Amino acid sequence: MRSFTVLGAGLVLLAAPLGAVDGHAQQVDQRLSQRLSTDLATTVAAQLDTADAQGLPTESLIQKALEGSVKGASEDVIARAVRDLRLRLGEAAHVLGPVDEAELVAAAAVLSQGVPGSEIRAMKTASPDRSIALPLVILSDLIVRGVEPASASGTLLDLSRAGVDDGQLGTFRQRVIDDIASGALPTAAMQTRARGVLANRPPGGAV
Amino acid sequence: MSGPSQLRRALVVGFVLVCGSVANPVAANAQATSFVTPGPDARPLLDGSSAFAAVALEDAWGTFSIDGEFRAQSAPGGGWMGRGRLSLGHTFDGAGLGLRLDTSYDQQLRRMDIGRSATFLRASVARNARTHGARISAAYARGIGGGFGANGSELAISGWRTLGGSTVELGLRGVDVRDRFERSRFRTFNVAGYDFVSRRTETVDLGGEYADLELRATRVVGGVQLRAWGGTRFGHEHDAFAQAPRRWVRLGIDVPVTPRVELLATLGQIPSRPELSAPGGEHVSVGLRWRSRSGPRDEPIAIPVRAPASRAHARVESDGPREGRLVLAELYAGRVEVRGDFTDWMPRELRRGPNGTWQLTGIPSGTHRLTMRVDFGEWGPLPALPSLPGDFGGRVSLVVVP
Repeated sequence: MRSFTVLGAGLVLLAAPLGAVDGHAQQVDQRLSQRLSTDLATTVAAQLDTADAQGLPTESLIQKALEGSVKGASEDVIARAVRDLRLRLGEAAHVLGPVDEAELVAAAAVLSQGVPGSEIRAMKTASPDRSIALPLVILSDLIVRGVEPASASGTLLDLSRAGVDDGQLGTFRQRVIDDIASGALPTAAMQTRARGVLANRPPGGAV
Repeated sequence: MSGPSQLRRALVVGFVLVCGSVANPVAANAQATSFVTPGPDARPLLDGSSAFAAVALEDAWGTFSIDGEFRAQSAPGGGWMGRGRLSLGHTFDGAGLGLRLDTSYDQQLRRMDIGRSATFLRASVARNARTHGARISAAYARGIGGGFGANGSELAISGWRTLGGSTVELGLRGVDVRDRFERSRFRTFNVAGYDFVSRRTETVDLGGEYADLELRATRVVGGVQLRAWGGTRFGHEHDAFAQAPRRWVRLGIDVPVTPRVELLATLGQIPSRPELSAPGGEHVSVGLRWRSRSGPRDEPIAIPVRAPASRAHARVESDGPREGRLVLAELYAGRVEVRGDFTDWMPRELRRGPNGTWQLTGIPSGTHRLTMRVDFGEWGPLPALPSLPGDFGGRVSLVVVP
């Protein structure tokens, strides 16, 4: 009897980690299954499996599906958006190597706007010890506001190399937006403001 | 039902108006309400029930606006009443200064003749800031109906301000009614088989001077707009209108049913408007309002010009290790919600702070996509934050929580 008790306890202990993994899967499946149709949830789950096998984060893929669901997008559009995001995340991971999910998600957004992977890699190389998520988000925003992608990425790279911190980047972005709103040409406004930031930096980059 | 103290109370039924969608930048408002205008039986002019339906068009072309309105109203004693209203306005956003001209014309058509009519012309100048404003207006009004006629001039001044989430407006309206009206009374009698009609003319003096002091308050709680009016009248008006209350309190509520449909209800007293031949009394009303464009309601409703453009802006602050806090500033609204990938795209309400600030804490570290809406309006990007075209239409904001 005692041996059965020990065996039972051992089985419970062995099963506990499996249960935890299964519980995680159930949690993911629950969010998808509750708010998506069975077919779409299955399609998204297949994308999650592929992303997981590639070592990509899956949470942003789930959120993409949920976003499409609450916005009333068709199932085809949602499935395509999830797949495209997985592909962009894979490309971003290839460009940046092992970085956190915030940087990957931001890089994926920038890649979708036509910025070459080499530019993004150069930004990370210039700031290896800090997240480039915010610089990438600002880069993406400037492109949306009409700044030429090549010029925008080059300028953000210059600012990263100069050690401009996130707070200063936020101020820089706001001033560029104000200039554009006042009628300045987007690319010219960004370049002018960047020259102002760089002119006030001490030589040799960050201090 | 005789005697001045016996005023009828009304039971009200609301109607639903079906209106077609109107393309931007035109917004349509539809409101249907049934109510009773009470009065003692001894004065048929002041008695009866009426229902009205209104459709208003309001543009949103920059700072210049034109409103038009047409109403069809069942009139006391039968027949229908039409109203045309034209309003021209211009707002100088930089100075928060607005000018507006309103004119309206009501005409009641009865089965055999023309009944009550009223004409109204008003010019207003308003200066609005984000938290306060003032308006001064001058108006001319003329009303004829039920054997009475009057015209009056009006001078009104009011000021409003937001106080602890409520908008409070205090207004003073002085009216001078100076009309004398000749009324004919006909009597038919028969003499030796022949019908004769006698006519007697009498002059009715509708003169009077009065001033209304009214306090109006509006507050939005959980998307529901609560309104309250309270006022008192000084001076005197013609006896025909003396049955209406000289002190009044009225409560109203606007409940959003969908982003574009609101359920409206009011209860209380309304003062008379002798210059428009309009009676006052107790009333209850229920109605539905439909708008072609959802979005925040104009605040405050009573001010005819828009406040300067919003200066609302959002930022993300660090709120402990690997957590952030979303802060919205200079956003004066009743309810603000966000949804994004940190809420599984389910709406989450922000907590209101002082002076138009709103906060949401507990945002996990990461790059997040999110949108916001104000007072059950359309979802859109947060002001002043980076944003991108969304994969499913519209724009989404991007924030980075360190």
